Amino acid sequence: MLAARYRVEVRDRDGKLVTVIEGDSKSFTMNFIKLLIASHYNQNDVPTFSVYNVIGDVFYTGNIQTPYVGVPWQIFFIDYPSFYISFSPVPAIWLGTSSCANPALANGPCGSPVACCFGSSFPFSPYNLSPGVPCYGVTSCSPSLTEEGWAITITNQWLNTSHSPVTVGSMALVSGVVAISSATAGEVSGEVFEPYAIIVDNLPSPVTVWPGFLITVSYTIYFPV
Amino acid sequence: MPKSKVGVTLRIEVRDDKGRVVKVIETPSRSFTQSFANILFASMWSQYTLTDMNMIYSFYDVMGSPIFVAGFPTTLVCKGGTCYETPRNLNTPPGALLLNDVGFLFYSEPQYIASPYQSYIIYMPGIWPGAAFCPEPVYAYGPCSPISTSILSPSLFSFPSSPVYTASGWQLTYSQTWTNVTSTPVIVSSVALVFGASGDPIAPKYYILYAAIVDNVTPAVVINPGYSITFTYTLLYAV
Repeated sequence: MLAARYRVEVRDRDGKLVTVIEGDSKSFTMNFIKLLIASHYNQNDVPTFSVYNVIGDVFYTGNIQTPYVGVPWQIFFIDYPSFYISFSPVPAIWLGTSSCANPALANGPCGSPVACCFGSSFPFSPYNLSPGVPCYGVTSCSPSLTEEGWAITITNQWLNTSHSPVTVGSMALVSGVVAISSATAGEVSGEVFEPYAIIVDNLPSPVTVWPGFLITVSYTIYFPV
Repeated sequence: MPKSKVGVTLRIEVRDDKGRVVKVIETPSRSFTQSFANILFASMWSQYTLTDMNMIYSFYDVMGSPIFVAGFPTTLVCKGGTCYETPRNLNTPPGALLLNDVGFLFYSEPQYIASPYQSYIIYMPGIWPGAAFCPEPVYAYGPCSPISTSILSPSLFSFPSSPVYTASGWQLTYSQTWTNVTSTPVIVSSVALVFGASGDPIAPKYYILYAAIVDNVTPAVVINPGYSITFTYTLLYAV
């Protein structure tokens, strides 16, 4: 069904393009496939799969083990305010410092997460992510029909706001689903937002992003026509 | 960018009344529909964002009825310490079916049969056959000239139950068999992979059937009385 391409661009402080990498994405993740399969069922017979969020915490499809997502809802969700409403993560493409041993089985980008969130503990800050921009600048607002089929391009820009160079070895397309954290006697008592990786890829060679440099990362997913 | 290498495969098997395979067609699938692309995009956003950004997505169900995904139908207006709901000007046709958002788009077994579909020619998710070719499958609402279940009788729709990891990628397989229960031959010229979708507000009338993929069957296949035809879509997710 799905083929995806990734593109990585690094620009220096003057906006000059210093690195471009483009390639076929290798790995829709097992976590995504489990959520996708569970989304075919109804509430009465949805299978129980264990799924891991980007930091490796488990949640479940179905309604038996908590935290659970029931029949997964909006598995392609990249809505910026909903990501940011209670904590600092932002959609949609996160970066890690090292390669993943097996991207298809990874929960997110590997090594230390360096681009994922707002906060001074991360060297990259989101750039051009704005509530005032159509679809927050994360993606186009509607599909486009290309020679390769219907295309969805999702993009993030991250600015190295630290004083040190940062090495990027892997990237992940991150969506999120809502899970119920606890329920007793039919009463739901909590909801948690679970960011999870749809796709994880290793870069063919690590990319160094110097202080003040901007890295633009994008995935384009194609649905054949 | 180079062409993507991964696609969808459609396999068609025709069996005679003794169960013997008499015809096999295997071909790349051509067309995710425009409705699928639009519903997928709509599902990326919450009803709050759809409202705030004034975004409206539209697509068609299998009957060709337009569906609009537009966020909340009303907005809260406060004046002088009093707040009240006022309808938003969505500029959609009168009586159009509106969804606040889209949550589910791959339902393969319905939680209920929504009333608009109860009297339709086919009313469950599955792989539906059509008697006519579609001029442009990418813009089709479903198979062209859907064939009634009183002519081709369906088996249960088989859909994925666990992840299957192959050398080519994650493999998701959908399959359904239809048997000619009449005394005359039936021609199948198109086929569609049909899913259920729903969103907020969740109510039976908001359960929607739409075609994610539509393909023409070329050449058209003749199903003799007592014969059956099995459609199998294999979707590969790159690894």
